[in-house]
Amino acid sequence: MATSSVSKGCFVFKPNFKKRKISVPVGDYFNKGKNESEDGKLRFETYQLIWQQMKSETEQLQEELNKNLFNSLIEFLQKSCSGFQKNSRDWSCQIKLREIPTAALILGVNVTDHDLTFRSLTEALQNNVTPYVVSLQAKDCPDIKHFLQKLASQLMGYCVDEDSKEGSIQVAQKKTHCSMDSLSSWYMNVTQKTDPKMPRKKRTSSSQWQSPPVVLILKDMESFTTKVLQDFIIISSQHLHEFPLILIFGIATSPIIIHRLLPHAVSSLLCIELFQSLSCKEHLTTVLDKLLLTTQFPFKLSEKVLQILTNIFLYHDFSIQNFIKGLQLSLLEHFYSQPLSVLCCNLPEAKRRINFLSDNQCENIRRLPSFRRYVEKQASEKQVALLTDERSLKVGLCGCISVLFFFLHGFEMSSSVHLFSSQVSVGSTDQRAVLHLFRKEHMGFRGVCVSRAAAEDVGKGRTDDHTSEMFPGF
Amino acid sequence: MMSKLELKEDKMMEVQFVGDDDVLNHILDREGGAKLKKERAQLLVNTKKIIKKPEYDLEEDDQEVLKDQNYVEVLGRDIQESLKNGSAADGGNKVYSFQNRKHSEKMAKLASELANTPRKNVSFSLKNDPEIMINIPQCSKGHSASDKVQLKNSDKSELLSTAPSGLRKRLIVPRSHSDSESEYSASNSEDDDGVAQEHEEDTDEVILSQKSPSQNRAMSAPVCKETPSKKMKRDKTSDLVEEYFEAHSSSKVLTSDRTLQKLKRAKLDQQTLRNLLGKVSPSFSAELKQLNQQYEQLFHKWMLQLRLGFNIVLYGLGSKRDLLERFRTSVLQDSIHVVINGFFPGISVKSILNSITEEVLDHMGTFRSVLDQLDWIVNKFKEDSSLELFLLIHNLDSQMLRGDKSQQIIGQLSSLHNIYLIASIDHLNAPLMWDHAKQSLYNWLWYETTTYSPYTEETSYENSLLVKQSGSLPLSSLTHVSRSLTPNARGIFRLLIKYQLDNQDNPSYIGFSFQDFYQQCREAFLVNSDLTLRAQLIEFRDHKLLRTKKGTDGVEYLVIPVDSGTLSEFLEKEEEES
Repeated sequence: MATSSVSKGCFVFKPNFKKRKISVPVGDYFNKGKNESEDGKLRFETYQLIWQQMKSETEQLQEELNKNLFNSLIEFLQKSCSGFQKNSRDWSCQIKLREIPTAALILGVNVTDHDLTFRSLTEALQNNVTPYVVSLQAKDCPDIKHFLQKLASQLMGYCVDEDSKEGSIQVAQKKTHCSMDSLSSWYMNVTQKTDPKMPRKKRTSSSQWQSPPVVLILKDMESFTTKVLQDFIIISSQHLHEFPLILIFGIATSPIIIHRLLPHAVSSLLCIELFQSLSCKEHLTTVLDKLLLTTQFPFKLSEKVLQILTNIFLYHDFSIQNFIKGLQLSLLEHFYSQPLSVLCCNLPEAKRRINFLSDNQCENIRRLPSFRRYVEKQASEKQVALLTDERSLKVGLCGCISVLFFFLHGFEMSSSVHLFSSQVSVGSTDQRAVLHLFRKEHMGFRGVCVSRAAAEDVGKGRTDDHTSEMFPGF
Repeated sequence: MMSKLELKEDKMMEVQFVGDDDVLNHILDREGGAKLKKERAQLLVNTKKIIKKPEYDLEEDDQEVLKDQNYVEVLGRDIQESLKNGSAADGGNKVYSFQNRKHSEKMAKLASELANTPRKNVSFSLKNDPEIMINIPQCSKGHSASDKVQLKNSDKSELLSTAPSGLRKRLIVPRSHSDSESEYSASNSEDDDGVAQEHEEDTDEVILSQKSPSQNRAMSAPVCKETPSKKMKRDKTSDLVEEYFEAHSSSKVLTSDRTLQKLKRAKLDQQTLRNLLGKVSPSFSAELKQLNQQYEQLFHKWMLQLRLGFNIVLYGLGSKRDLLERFRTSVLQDSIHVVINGFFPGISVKSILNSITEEVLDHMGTFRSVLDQLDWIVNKFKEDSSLELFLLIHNLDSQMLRGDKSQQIIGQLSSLHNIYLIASIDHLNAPLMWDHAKQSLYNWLWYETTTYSPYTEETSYENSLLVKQSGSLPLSSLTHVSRSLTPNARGIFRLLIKYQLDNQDNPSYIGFSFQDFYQQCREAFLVNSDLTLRAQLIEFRDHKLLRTKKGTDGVEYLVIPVDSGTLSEFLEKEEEES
């Protein structure tokens, strides 16, 4: 075989015609697997459309949910910045100057989601407070030397962006020896240099301070070695007057950990303020409300799949990212394996697509158990028409689909009405219970009604199996 | 004694018990058999007594127990209580004890089913019986009697276990195995001859029947050994639970000493092994083929999912290498891909990154560290979104790649949207490599692809137990080297070989001390100074035919690191030639 050798373990294969970089469009793989599949392209496009919408929706959601937290954080930072600026000879201020303003950000145990939060936090800070935002992870900093090196290289990195050439030389120099002294001298350099250029720069908001502070984010404060943290805090508190530093601790467990990690002598150098992020359960609830319990997305999850996904969430990782990934997978699986999933789109589009259904697809519909049940309830001459004539089938389908969408609307409306009433009346039924009830009803409805395709929107069948298959051990 | 009672009550065992007398008479000399019989008769009487007149028995026991107040103090709560009750009111004790016994018997049965070894069952029920706890003094009185019981048990076990042919020696082995552990292990090692016999296929019926009971006795020896020591323990830990686990804890009895070493044709060379394996036709080949075809239908789906940002991990029994190889040849022909054999012993993350930077990205520079290299790759892939790379990793969970750092780096690579990773894992606990953070980097989709195919390629770097490691090679190299030498040097080497062969049975032999060796060489007129001797020895050392080590006294010792069989063969050949 080409990939076995006694002398090496890696084999690189490059296609000969590498000059023309053709990459097969992803959509092609949608078809090839199953020859009989219908409307593959259309289905793939629908998938992409829905997924993009869902994705942007979740991102937006995340942003909104983080907004409060970020606002209060920014406020805190600005307040402490102004503390640096005052530069008064007031005794209390001098004392305060010794303390590093620190924001302890309690984020919860869903560590995998933190990255996203920190990314948007960095962005928000860069836009509003200071260009010098550095985030460090424990695994990069086994000792104080690496810690400072990383800090320096990231800071200089921003510097490189601003004045290109000089910076790169600086980086090369600084990589070898880094100390707080060099950092503060660099800082002086930069702030003085940028001051005259200020009008030219676009940094409008940060220009209100002469010297913007340096914000250091420690993403996973718990996993840092205590020695490194202690040393760094002691050193930087000594340099605080020339190197205005603000710390942000990302904490997954509880704020007590700060005092457990740092002895009193060190923690007294910090001026800590606590910030609590939204709990991930609430986050999930909003995600469910915005993605699944709306008419915006025709795609729905069946009871089983939802159960699996929420179980993974609740018992395994508390990760919204993972939940959304699962959602994406079930969406993909649905569109991939169900030919009739073409109809999983908004109402006018679905009606239009019904009219363009091929003979094969019509047969597919006739084979659906839910459609059979529907047919059985019709008068005999209509039964014949539905089963033999494409035209009347399509007309019938259009009716059914409208009923389904109407139901979905009613479902959403009533759930919001219940939400409203539960908020108004004290001690009313639990909203979740009500929703659950509706869900059940919904399922029942699916049984009697309409095409499987629309029913598929509720997600089920193979989607169940596959999703559970792909998360073994959960 | 109690075990006897147990046996009586246990139907299954009773049936097997019938044959004992015949077997015993057959094997043991008349006297011993008669004695045994007598003993047994006594025992039977005793047990009957217990069954029929439990009140009397228990009363007596209770008194004795009260005498041994110390023991009772140590007993567990429940039993102590029941005992005290018993001393107060006999009837109560009877009820308690019988109830208890039945219960424990049930447990014993259950346990025996689980343990699946009759011998164990005996020892277990013996321990577990609460009755016995009361009867302790009696038991210790009739120590020899209990030994006999064990003997009987052993006879019974003979019938249950498919008696492996033992050895004649066994008959000579003293009967009282009951005292020491070491004796048992010694008799165990004596098995060598027996196994050898087995391989000569010397299965004479008479010998077999003669041998088997003695062997069984040896096997049951630990049970005998257990009884006295267990008695003490029993006093201390009356907890049923603990005894349960004790009974199920691994005992030496179960360890088979039929090792590969004992096989007559212990070692084959690689070639014969391969030939032999080649002759074996794979079973269920049609089904396996069908199974593989099922997986092949997933190829397009995998491609789709890879492209959409998921990575794929294959798990399940059997080598997944062929499957991935087919995946590679059927779908990946037109794209850049790297195949990584995780099972390759020299694989490292560094080499993976190197092959990406050097061969995929055509970068000739070097990097200060692996992390730098990773950063560079990540940047490169982020900059150029048209760049696409498929990584196929066989055995992502191999020794070399399973480290935390390696996994982190591979995870970071795979999290890039234009690097697609498809990997296979085989270890049961492989998913433990990944914590939440890594899992989210990898973004796995799990596919179970059980192929049942042999791990031929994957294990080709390993040494098989069946293959003789240092076979013909040293011999040929020995002759080759010695042919190229001067007669003097050859003589020196022969001297050393002879000395080593003479001392091969000496366990404290650490080598030929240099001074003695020099002396002998001088006497044989082979060298005239120790410098010349050293010069001669260099040749052997260069060919790895000689090793020197410093002893504790600072003296140099010379050893030939070749097994004695090869050495004597070499000597024979030499003598033939000369």
